[in-house]
Amino acid sequence: MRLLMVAVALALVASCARVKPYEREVLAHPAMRQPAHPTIDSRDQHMFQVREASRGAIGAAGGGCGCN
Amino acid sequence: MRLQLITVAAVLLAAGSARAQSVADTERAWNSGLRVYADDDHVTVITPSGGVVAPIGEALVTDVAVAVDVVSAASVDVLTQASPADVDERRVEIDTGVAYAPTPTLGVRGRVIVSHENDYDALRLSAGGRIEVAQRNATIDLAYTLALDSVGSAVDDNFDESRIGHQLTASFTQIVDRQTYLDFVVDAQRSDGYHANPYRLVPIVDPDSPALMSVAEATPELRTSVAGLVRVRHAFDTPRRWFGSAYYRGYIDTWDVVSHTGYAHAITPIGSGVQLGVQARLYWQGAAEFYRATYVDDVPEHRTRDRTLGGMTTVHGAITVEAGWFVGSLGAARFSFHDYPAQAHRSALIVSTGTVVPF
Repeated sequence: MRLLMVAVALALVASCARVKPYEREVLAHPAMRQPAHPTIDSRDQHMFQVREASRGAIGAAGGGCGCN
Repeated sequence: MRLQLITVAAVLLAAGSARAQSVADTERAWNSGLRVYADDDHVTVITPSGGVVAPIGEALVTDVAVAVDVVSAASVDVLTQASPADVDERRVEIDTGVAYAPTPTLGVRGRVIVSHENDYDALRLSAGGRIEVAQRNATIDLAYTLALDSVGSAVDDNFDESRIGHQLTASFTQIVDRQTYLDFVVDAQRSDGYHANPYRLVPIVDPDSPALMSVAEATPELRTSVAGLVRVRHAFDTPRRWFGSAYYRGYIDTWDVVSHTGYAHAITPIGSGVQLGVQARLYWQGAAEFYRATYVDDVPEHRTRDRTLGGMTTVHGAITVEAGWFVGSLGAARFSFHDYPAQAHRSALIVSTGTVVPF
């Protein structure tokens, strides 16, 4: 049932208005990237991963003990 | 007319799809960075890093990066557990990957991350793929990561534990309109093996005796978690153009840790190719089921003094400046522990710089 709900939700989102390639100038701006600054953001994620109990869904945070 | 055609061609080449950046967009470049983390718990981490990104032909991109964490610590967490003196250590991380896009709408990738410390080794092997659908208005991305960790001890040569983890991540990105992306991410992880810290001892209090017993930390071997994220990215049509993104992440695991994360980020050009960014992050977490600030009388099967498994709140903010090849960030974080008597708060200052130089 949950899978069905997710599928329906995705179908609804996919029915959004089509944006043609020549209409994507703003979307292609570097400031719209995710993450905006990959190197800095990945180090931030590593910092949070070793100092908080949660993990996942945001980006690769590398490995290591990070005991400190 | 010619200018219009060039503009349209440039937009077609640059815009492409719902994905943030395609293989075809990637330029050959050196990158380097320096990060300094310092907190009032007497922990300083200096991280120099460097790497290179190199397209090979039009469909293949490889990259490799090396980062070194130089850690100097006299944390209350370390000093009260095992080490009578300050700790100095190094962590070396090598991160390399390859991405291949046989068609503009299809891509696969692989990544290897190796991390080495004198008493801890970690290996991450990732593989993933993405496909663009709905006339390139939507992107579906799937990734799998195998995590292998080997835990040793600097004070016990015979100590040897390990952990194996599996991570599945599914992402869906949708172009909503000419100025908006919507992202959905679901992440499931299963980690089996040794999760504790060999240096951390857990005191057991006997109310009838002044003597204090300390035992090794012990956590469940299996940990399974699910995280879900919803993010919106939007370009605002105000007199000064600015770009914003915000997300919410929910997390739950089999140790009964529940957390909520909120994040917002805004970037605006301030002239001459310079961009100013501001970001804020709020994080709240409930304690693991077996976490106690104090264990009394009996030695429970699972026990920890890891403050990161207790209830906690994090507030983080940063300002970022990007100018040409340079990006710099100044941030501050405050970690508040709801039930950790040895330390209620931990405040940190983080300075990061980076350069990306095409060649």
